[in-house]
Amino acid sequence: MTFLDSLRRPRAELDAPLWLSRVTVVAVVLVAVVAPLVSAPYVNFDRSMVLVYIVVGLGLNLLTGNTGQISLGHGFFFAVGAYLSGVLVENHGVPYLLLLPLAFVVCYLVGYAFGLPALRLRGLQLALATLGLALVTPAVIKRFEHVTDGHAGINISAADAPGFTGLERDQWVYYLCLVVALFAYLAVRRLSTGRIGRSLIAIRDYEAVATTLGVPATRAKTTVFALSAALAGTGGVLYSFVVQYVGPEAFGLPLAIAFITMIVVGGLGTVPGVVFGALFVVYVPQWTADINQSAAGITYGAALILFIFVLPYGVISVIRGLLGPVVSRIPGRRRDTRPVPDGRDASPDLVTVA
Amino acid sequence: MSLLAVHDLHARYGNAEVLHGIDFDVPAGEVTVVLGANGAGKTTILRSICAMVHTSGRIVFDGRDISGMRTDRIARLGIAHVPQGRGTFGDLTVEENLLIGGYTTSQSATARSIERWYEFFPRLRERRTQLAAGLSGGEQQMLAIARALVPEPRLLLLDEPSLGLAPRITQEVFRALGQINEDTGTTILVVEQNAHLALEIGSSAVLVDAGRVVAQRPAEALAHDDAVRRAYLGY
Amino acid sequence: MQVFLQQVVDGLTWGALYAAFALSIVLVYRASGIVNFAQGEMAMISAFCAWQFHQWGAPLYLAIAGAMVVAFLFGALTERVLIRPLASSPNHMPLVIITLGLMLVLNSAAGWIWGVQSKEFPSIVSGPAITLGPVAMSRQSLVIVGAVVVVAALLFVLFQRTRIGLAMRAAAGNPESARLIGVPVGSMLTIGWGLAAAIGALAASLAAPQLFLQPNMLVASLIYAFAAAVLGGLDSPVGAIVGGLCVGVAENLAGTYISWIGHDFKQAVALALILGVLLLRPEGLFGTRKVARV
Repeated sequence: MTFLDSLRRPRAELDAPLWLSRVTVVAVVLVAVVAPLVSAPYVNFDRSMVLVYIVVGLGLNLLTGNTGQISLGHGFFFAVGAYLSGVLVENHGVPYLLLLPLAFVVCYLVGYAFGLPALRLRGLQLALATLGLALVTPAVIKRFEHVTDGHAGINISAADAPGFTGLERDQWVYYLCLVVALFAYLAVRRLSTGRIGRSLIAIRDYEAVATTLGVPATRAKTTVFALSAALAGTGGVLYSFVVQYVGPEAFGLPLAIAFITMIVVGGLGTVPGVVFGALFVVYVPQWTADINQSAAGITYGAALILFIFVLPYGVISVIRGLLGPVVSRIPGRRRDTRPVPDGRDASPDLVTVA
Repeated sequence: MSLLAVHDLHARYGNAEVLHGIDFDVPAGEVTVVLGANGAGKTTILRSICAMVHTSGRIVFDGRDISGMRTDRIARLGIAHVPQGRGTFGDLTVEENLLIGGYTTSQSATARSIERWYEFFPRLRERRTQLAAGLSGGEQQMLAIARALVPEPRLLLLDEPSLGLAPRITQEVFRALGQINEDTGTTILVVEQNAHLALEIGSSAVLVDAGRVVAQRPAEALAHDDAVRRAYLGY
Repeated sequence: MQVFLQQVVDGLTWGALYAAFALSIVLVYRASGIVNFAQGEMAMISAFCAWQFHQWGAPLYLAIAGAMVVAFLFGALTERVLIRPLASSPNHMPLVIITLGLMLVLNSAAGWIWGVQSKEFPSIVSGPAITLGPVAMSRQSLVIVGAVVVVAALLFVLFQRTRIGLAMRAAAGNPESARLIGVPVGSMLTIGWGLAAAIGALAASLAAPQLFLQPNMLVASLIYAFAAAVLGGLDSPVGAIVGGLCVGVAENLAGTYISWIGHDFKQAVALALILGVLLLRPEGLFGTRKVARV
């Protein structure tokens, strides 16, 4: 097998002993909680954006990783969430925390409605249809400008930290994002390992057979689509708090491509991959902005092409490949907690390190 | 004199090896028949000759080692292959199918050749402007054979020509094959499940079982060897 | 009535443009079974090349011809390097993502090399508009329509009357059988991609005077081109032309006569069209049924 072939193989999850996994999780959580207290606002801004993308990415991952279908249109649901927040919070004084569950529900319903017809399409057709959705999102926003304020956009000044916490606004928003991201992570994990998760894997791998075994394929796929839309919408709400402005041009094709880049670079179908992908998508434009305004686009595009060619299982596959032999030698595991050496991350586990 | 000789041919699909060292040869000007049960690897042999599967081993065609060559290059050397299921171009007309069959030869040679095959298969001439997908199974088989023969190949490979055809049509097809071999002297290598019909037109038979050649005998001898026949051909 | 006819004629001009891009999309789909999402950006960057050649002193005709050659080579290269290696897998999603990546790279590269400010692109003909009875058409529009007609005719001759065109059709329809009769299938696909890119280059160069040359020049037209290809049938060149004209006219009429649609929202109509066709009749008007089995 050539070097290229070995890069392209899917990798098994890292076979870490339980204590190592637990320690890593605690360490990560600790850092995540303490870090913003000692960082500048613009740093927290970036981290919050990473968390926003993680929320969206978890949803997309659920959809693409488990059903194998690509949606390029999730920018639309993201925009719905963001604008719901902008309009209701800023123009109508709705308490901002309410927007989180509200956007989730609204986008779930909208996602379900879109998914019902859309999911009868497969692969290329679905990609084409959802690409169309991404292309028209700014136009739709501008069309309803009596609500959305069209080109002008909406400035959002809500989400100030409550007095009793003693936090600055940027820190408060960060913690908000962190909590939502953790919820999302838990929810997605529970879903993936439960009955729906197993149905989805059956559908992904061999839909015709799954249906004959009684798996309600259409309902499962549409539910997943709706959930991914709901997560995207929730991300949109958080986005509105972080950036404090929503405007039509931010939600078009470039955003859709950023979402796809996130899951391709990180690793299709893996949860830790989403984290890496989110980091990539947030920080690359920053680094490349020094070179040139266009450099970010070139980097995204080149990354997409390169990764599909060389590392179709994303950054995660490299990490697993490199760390795998090391981690499996660390002592202290019980005999029967060895995971099945299957490359596809079929059941993301909270305790899994990577 | 063998036109095609296969030495120690191994073939695999992915990680599964299907042929485990095949040796046989195809005498020039004659009809050689490859027989065996389902899954024995007969189709894979033909596909290996045309480089459609991963192979190792030597395949020598008319003194030339074709083992590493690409499929279209092998076709240009004069090997024509009628794949399983006919492989006609469904959205091209009968005439267009025949025309593209002559891709490797000059336009005038193609035109002459097509004319000859219309003589041999008058039903094709009747349907010349119809789309190939609209033809019946038997007509498609005729078309596939004619198309393969348009460039006047040295070797004609046929993969299960009887598949999906009614018995009467199958007989017609085999009669045509026998006639073609007599008239033009084209060497034919045919893989077939229907051993009985195949042995009637064949002069030599290769018996394949589980990816290995079990025997290569004159067809007549095999037809009369009850023990071997019953063991491998089931009748 | 005159307004209506004028709108129809304007729609036909845009429609001719969409038809040209749809033709590119169809050529690629027939060759490789995927929709090249980067088709528009490839055309856009070819228009920039034409502009650049013209800036360096070439007469416009030559500049556009040169850009078409560059586009052919670029399209061929893309097929050979980016698409061919992954084409053997039945899953088309990696290829789709590659074309998305390419779209992004080309868009950003154009901005990098030439900047994002709009540039003027000279018309190939100048002079007053031509009146045909109650309607008027700009000379450039006539050229566009004429060019698309010529391209369509040339493609027809190529595919229906030449041996290499027949070989391309065979390679697209049944690659395995094509190889067995000696057709170099890979080369046929490469030529298909090259042709598609060259057509896009021509269309973009002719539309540039009106759209103004800038990296996002064709992004708005993209969805109409896709709608046209889908409506006509993704594997039908005839469908691409008919689809393009229909979409062009419909878009224009909808924008003018249905006030709640207005200018921006027309794109949503195109999306609805795409969804509708894919759901109700995936093979479009002229495509073959196998398009439905993705």
